[in-house]
Amino acid sequence: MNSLSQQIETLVLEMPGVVTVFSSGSLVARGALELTSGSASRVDVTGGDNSAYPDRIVVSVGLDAAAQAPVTATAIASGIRATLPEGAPTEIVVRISSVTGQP
Amino acid sequence: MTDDANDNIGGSGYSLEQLGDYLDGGRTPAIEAIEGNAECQAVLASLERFGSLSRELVSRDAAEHTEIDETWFSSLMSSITREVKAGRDIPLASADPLTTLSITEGAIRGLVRAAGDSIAGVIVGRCALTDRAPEDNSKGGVAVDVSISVLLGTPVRGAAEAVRQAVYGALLKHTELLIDSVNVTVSDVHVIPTEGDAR
Repeated sequence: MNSLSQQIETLVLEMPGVVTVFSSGSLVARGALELTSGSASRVDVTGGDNSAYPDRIVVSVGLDAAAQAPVTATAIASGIRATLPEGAPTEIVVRISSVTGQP
Repeated sequence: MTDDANDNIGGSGYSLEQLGDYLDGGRTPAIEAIEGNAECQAVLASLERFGSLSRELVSRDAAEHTEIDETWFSSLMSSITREVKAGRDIPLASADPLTTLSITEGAIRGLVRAAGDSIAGVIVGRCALTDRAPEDNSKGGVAVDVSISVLLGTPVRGAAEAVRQAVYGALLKHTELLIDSVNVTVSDVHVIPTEGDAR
């Protein structure tokens, strides 16, 4: 699922209003993942090793204050959902961790 | 505020002082543990907003021997590092039952601080969000308490009202909170004489 997490990170970063993607897990866990798999994605994709879709995707983002946070969060979730097979029961979690710039 | 909290912002392994040095160094070379950490980013944003004013205060204090409370800066930094902690996830509505959307309490406090700091002559000291039960003349929801420092010469009442409106607007735009009240307290006044002053 490493390629999927990197694909989602790229997708999210290209969305209007998104300034950055933060690490969803702990720095230690992420460091260990980087060492073992080479993945440097900040998006947390879990489960689904034996299926076509993951169990859970967690993304934590920083937004520009010019963008409305609820609208942007919904757009991010929809964008992620669109990368999955239709009907995939994957849980998607979008957490806004910062809003920067002039409100 | 414990020393640990200042020494390890957001679990990044970097202290408040190191974040200040990183900012002074132009944030280059980029440090992933800082750039990828929401709490570090919030501290850096506050330090950036505060930086120019604090330098001016310090230089004028030294030049003109005006009285500035020595604990004020450290108190402000302590408030900032405490408030940037992610805290609770405040839910945002989602039509998809398999999707969970939220904004962190730390992000909301950062919004409040940025909105207040955007008003000329104002620095936000502390901000707090408190859940209110729908009783005691309250409609329920969240009460937002903000303390501010106002530069001498800035109309206090007008500054407080401008902060209140800015905070309210930011919360309406970025959250789905039921806002019970936005309470602004002017807790400090600082002196920054202008060049034209006869002081």
